[in-house]
Amino acid sequence: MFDTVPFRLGIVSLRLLLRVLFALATVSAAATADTDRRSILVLFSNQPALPANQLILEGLEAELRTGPADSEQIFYEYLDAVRFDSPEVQEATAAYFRIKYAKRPPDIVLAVGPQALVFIDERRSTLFPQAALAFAGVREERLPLGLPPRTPGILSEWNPVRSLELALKLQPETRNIFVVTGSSTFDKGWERTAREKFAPFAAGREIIYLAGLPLDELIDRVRHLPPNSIIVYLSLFEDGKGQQFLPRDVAGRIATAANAPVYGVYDTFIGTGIVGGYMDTFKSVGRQLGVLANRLLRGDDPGSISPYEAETHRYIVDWRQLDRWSLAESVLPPGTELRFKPASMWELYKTEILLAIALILLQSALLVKSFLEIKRRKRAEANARQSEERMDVAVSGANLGLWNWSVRDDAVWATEHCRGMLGLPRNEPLTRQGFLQHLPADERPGAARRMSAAIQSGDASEAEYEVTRPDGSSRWVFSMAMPKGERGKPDHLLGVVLDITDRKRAEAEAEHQRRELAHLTRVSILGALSGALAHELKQPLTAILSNAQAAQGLLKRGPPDVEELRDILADIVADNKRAGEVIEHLRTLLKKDEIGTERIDINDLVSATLKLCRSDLLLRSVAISKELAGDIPPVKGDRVQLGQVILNLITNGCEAMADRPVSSRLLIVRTAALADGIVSVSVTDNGVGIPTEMQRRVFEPFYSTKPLGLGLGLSICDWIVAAHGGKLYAENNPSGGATFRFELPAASVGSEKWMPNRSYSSLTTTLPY
Amino acid sequence: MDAESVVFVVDDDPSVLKALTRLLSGEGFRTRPFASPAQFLRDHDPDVPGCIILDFAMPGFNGLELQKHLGGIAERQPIIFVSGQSDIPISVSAMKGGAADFLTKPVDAAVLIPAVRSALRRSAVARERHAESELLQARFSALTSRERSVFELVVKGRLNKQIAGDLGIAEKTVKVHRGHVMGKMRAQTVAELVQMGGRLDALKAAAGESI
Repeated sequence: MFDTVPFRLGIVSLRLLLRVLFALATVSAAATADTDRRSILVLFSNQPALPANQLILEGLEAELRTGPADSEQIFYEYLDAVRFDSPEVQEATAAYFRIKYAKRPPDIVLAVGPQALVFIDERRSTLFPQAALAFAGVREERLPLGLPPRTPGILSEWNPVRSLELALKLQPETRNIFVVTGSSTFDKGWERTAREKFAPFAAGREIIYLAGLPLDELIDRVRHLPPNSIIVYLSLFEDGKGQQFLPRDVAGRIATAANAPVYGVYDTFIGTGIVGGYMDTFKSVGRQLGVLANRLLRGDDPGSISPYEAETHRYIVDWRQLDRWSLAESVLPPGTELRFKPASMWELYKTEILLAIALILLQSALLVKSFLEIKRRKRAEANARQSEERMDVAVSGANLGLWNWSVRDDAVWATEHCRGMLGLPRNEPLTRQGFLQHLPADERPGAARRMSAAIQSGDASEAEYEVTRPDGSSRWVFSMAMPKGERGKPDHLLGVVLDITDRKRAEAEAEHQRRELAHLTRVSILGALSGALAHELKQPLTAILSNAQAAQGLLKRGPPDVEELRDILADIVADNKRAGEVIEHLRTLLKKDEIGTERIDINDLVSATLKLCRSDLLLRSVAISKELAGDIPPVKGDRVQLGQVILNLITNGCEAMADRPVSSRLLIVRTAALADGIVSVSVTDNGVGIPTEMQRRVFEPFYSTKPLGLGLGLSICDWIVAAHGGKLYAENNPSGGATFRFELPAASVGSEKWMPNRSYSSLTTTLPY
Repeated sequence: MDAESVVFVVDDDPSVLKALTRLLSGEGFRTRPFASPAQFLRDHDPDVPGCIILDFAMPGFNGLELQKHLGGIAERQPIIFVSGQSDIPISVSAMKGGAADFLTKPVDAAVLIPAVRSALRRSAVARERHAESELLQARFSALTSRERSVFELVVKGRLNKQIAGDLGIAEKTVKVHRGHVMGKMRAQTVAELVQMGGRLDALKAAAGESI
């Protein structure tokens, strides 16, 4: 018994010990689980669809992934405070948060943007009182007054002043600064900031505030700004009519419409057409907030971190806009981030260029070597005739003919191949006269003149012509003559003749096929339009028939009213003429014409084409907005072909919108006179747009995205525009849909800029018909 | 033909509009021209007896939409579509939507005039029916809710005794209500009352459909 007591005690204490140990283990396990599963609530000021929020989220999530946070324990909330700014909504939201997060209160609250920070800060005692608070995306001057000074956060700087400075650096000649803001509370905050900060820049310039206008009116205003203007677009969540927008979409619309460069403060606007500004990149704001959150999660004391500025802002500029407005890249501040700059030839083709240089060097080395060899052999070989034969073989192998005309004794020497090519008699001495005899009669005087001129001036001359050989076959040759002689005094003419028949035939064939194809597309487009054209004809026919039958009725009913009859007949005549015009228009469209060279008023042509497809547009329920530039110089070219281009672009635009709701099918046809005598015509739809992977290929023949498309329309358009010395562009609009635009040189008075034949031959190299 | 009837002509092509109105006026019809569907919707009076001649393809509206828009009015003022296209699917949906006719341009007077006449006849019949149903509905709405219940059960063919059981009232009371129903609905016989019940049901169903 004696020793059993301690033994018992031993058992009891062992149990106790075990129990305590077990309890301790559980506690420590719970403690570890707690630190592992700490939760984060990210509260955004705005709505999820805002591009800026998406970028911040992207950066934040990327950074949080590298830290200790458990992705299951990250919650996101969006106040949407710009659109719903009433205190009642905010109170209700807070109440909702209290209920929602009652069971799992967040350990860390990350507030993104000033509204979210204010929202949390005002309710610290009742909403998430235990949580550590951090923020980002807030400018220093917008920090809430009552915020504890040691609240960790990333200060942002969307610096309107530095953005304006950038604008003035790029455009020192600026006289008018238009500042654009909307009418939401947030937008008005921007307006206040601008009015305060921009005041020092008013010296010698005018600052005009376009604040709180209805968007339509705003767009209309920026379309016609005076010269030397710039636009500083800050923010527009809501316009003067109370309609709500995403500021980024508005940036795109302003930049598209404005006749002056647009600057901004948000990097999400870059790419919509604005030039640039001094701005935070939202993604890096998100990243920095993630870094901060990770520090807090790892146990850093929130009180030890004051708000600080991280490396999130810099000058950002869209290179394409510099190019568009001809602004100098060289004046940009150092460290500016230049976006969308196309890689230079060197950057793109570095390897290829190096390889080409190496090849050229290698080739030159070989040439020198063989040249030395030839020289050595020549010395060794006494027979000059042999060398001439060898050269003859070499040049005829290259399909070249050589000839030489000595002025002094009027003797022409020519290689065998040359004689064969030109159809000259073999083994017969030749004079210049005999040499020229092989040319077609109408070429002879010109050729004689060229030969004499070359001898006199010492300059080489060249020509292309067709020769008929004795056997009746004809060949195209390219001929070049170089005057040679002692001390710069030419006494003989050295000529090279190259047979280019194959190339010429290919060109002619391509041209023929091109014309056939153009005709085919025209016919197929007209086929598609035929229903609409029939309607166009049936209108006057209906009027004529009804008028005529009304007259018959009038006569049948007794003595007719002569005035009334005269009136009816006049109407019949007018409608008859109208029908005639429709048919005439159709006929000119169908004609297989060569390129004409009339002077064309492009506005007239656009209007006429729209009139032609009016009923087609009606049937497709497409609304048309015609924006024609007032003072536009004429272009020179073929009315029918250019009309076909416009028609084709309109048809394409309509087809692209076929799946859109009727109310939003809008086609904008715009003409404009650009600088340097360029005239532009654009057709903008709001359809499906061009898929990115297809943007390069839209002008390729036989490439089509339409199930039944032949894929020829746009390639023909491209060709026609190129043949008129212009260029066709296709691009997606920032706000959806696509714009097809072509530019043509204005017809210059007197000078002959446009040479269709040149363009014809370029066809073989650009389009694989 | 009703001398009050008006032919509404809607065509955005001024010369066609003028010619059609001229032809119809010459034939003795009262006409009213409209140069656009918008003007038509704004100024048109749906209570006038008549018919509508409507160009099918006009800016802002296509004919089918306008037809839908007019809804029940198109029954009292039937639509004759005039189209530049003889598109079968379109004309089928127009006719299904209740169009009186679908004519293709150019329209011969020998086709148009009879079409207008028959549309005006349809208009007159529809107006008569419309007036009748309005009267019927007015009478029905004068019934008390108890009378309505009795009315519905009578129409279903229930006997007075059964109705008394259904409603938990005395047979005598049913008889009194029944007398009131016959009087208010101006029905001479039970058969007539049953017929009225059928009409009212059909009207109710049609109203439900159009909502």
